[in-house]
Amino acid sequence: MALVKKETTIEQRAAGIGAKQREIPFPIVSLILGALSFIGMMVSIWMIFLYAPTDAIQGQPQRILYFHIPMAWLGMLGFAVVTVAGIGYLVKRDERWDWAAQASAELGAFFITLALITGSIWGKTTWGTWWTWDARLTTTLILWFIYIGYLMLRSYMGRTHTSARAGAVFAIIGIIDVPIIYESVNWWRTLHPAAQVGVPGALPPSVVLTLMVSLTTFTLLYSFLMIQLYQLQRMQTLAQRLRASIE
Amino acid sequence: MDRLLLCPVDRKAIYLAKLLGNMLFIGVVEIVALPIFAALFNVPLFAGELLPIVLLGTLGIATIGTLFSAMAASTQARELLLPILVFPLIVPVVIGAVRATGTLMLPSANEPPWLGLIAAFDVIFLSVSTLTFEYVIEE
Repeated sequence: MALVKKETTIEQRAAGIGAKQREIPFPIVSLILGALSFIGMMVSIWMIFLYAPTDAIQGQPQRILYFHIPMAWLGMLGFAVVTVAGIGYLVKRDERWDWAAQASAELGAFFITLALITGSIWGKTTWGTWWTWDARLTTTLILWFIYIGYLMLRSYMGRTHTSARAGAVFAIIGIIDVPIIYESVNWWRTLHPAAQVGVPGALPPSVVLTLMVSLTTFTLLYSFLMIQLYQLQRMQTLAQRLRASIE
Repeated sequence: MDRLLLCPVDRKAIYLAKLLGNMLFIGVVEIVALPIFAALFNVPLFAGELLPIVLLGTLGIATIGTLFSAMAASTQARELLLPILVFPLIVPVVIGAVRATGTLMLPSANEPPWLGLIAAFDVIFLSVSTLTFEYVIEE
């Protein structure tokens, strides 16, 4: 993958001066994940549009769910990764944990935005409304706000250790709060379709298979993009240090 | 804040002190606002459980607010950032307090334990915030 070079020229020069620069990790892993997610995406697109049966009641729009569910799952996984990376940073004081946290925050925010949009489109076709204030939608919207808040906080506080610590604490508070928010809104309202995958006989096996393939593909895509964004964060930090050393 | 950090005290004490200060601040606003609301909307002011709801709700909002104001204080757009950070996280307190007050005014059957929700929120976030505050303000 041309995106992940073996070693930048700066690192080669710095290695000459004796600085502790490391080679970009994971070039092979990145390549494999990229290839797998590409193949997986091709397979899942075929499965979603051609293999999976058409729903009797919902018709073709039901296929949106094969994209919507993995994206929502990744949005939540992304936030869990942000929190774990944040805790890792607080404990280890190693900025590489923070690079992972920021990478996951950007990715997770992106996927949760897509989940909200695709879910909204599906809702319009099935429920007749773009939005409703039931527990899952409201909590996902709040999770979106928490993501945006995290990105804003990190952006405004700059690329410093204080910023990384503040982000980590915010993520910890956020992840503890999300289940509480979900329960409180659930007590307050109710509407999202009950989870169908676990119930045997509720969905035909081809649907379950398509959903699982789509979920796996998106998770592979997430991992691949995580590596790319982690490298980007690393580059940005190195660039900032270089700029500072020049001034 | 730097002067506070000079004091040889545990950072948790600084957090709790700030929390107390913020709660008193909000409390003063409530002392003024509640009688006005009672008069304007003709609702009974001392209807049983109102005081616990007000106190626990204030504690919940102040807990989150104090922690995040320490985070956002040093940034450029702190007036914009603080509400964006705080409002999504205090949703359980807001929903709980509104519903609890509603149940107080208009008793209904089979209501979930709203006051319990606010109390649980307070306990959880008071402990988490107290423990993580030192990471936010250390240099």
